[in-house]
Amino acid sequence: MELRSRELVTSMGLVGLLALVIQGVAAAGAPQAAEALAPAVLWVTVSFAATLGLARSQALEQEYQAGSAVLLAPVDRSTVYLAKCAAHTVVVVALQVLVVAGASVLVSPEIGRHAALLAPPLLLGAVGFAVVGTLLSALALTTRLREVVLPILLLPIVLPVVIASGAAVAQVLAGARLASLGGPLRFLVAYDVLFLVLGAWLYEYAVEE
Amino acid sequence: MGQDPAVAARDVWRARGARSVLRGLSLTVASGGSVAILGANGSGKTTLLRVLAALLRPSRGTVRIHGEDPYASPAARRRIGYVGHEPMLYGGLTVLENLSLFATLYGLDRPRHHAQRACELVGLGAYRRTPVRHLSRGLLQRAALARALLHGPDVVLLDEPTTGLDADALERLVDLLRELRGRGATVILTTHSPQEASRIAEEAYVLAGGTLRGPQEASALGAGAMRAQLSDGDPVP
Repeated sequence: MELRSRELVTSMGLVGLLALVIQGVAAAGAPQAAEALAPAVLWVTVSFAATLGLARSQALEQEYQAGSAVLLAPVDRSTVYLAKCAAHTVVVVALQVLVVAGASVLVSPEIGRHAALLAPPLLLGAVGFAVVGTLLSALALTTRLREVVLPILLLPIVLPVVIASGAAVAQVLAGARLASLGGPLRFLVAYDVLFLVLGAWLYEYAVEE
Repeated sequence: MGQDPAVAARDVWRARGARSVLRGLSLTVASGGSVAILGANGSGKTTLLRVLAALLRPSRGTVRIHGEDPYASPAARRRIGYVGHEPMLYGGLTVLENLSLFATLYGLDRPRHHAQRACELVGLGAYRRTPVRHLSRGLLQRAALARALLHGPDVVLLDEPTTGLDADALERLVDLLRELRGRGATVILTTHSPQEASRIAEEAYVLAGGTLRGPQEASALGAGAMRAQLSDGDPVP
């Protein structure tokens, strides 16, 4: 459905581009600080655009209650959760590719030059974001103000991901090699595994009305 | 050893907001049975079917489909076909794509073949490549029926299934349900209409005050008798 309509990537991409432009313009007054600001720029952009994407993804499932039909199916609910996490991770990674490309132009070309080394912390960050976001967007569905509740719940819980991934991005842009990123990367792996297991266990309760 | 009933709900309670909609409701339907559940708006008919379909968990009591808890058992859910108020399809996908997806989820071999067959069964052959979002209300209902019957369920739960159907589609539905029952499937539907109940079901219950009154023969249930039973405190004759 996304390949045909490109609805999610388009809306996330536009929000991401807007956020990049605003931050790029704001940072233009201090070009020497651009590299230092890069981790924040990347993750502020990805966080807000990805949250929008998660909310849109849930809205598409709610349109004709297709999500309920998936729950009717003879599939373990934890399997449904894992499948959704995988799909959301792909979407967030696609967003990150666009954001890295855009930030290379609008913020600092160093971001583009180090894209390969930025991949592991960004990818692990995307997994963490998707894993928590999938669970919380299911939870937020049963509330009245779901568009507001999702970012309020999601952003504080993924803050450790943003901090660790942002720290790794900063180290890479300062010239660190992959081997010296051990601390943040190990933290990200542990976080992703912990919330994946928690999410798989809690998902069936999150989707209950 | 006796066979488990197709549907067995025992002492089921379920709230909607602060109000208990189902209050200690019990229902047993044998395999091959057909039951209509009538009731006023807001009486809990939809809530009851959603509990039976394992879309809602009862706050108290148990539900069993052929002896298994559908909430805990994917195998029990495999036996259920459910049509609700919403079609439960992806709006951006075509009818055929939706049905192929659900055929895959239900573990059917050759999902596309089953999807095509389901389209033909409900008279949607000409619309199989139409995005669900572009279907009219009546066609959406047919698509929902196709989704529910795709995997050959033996317990069919239908929430006001004739809503939006034209005369041709209604006749198809009645024939389809007769065919399913002929194969031993169990049908439970909710409806406002005693006439519809008598066409499709053998037995009827009235849901009022959170519990079921009945059963009685669906063919004997006239509109006047139903109104009397929906009033508080009126027992079933």
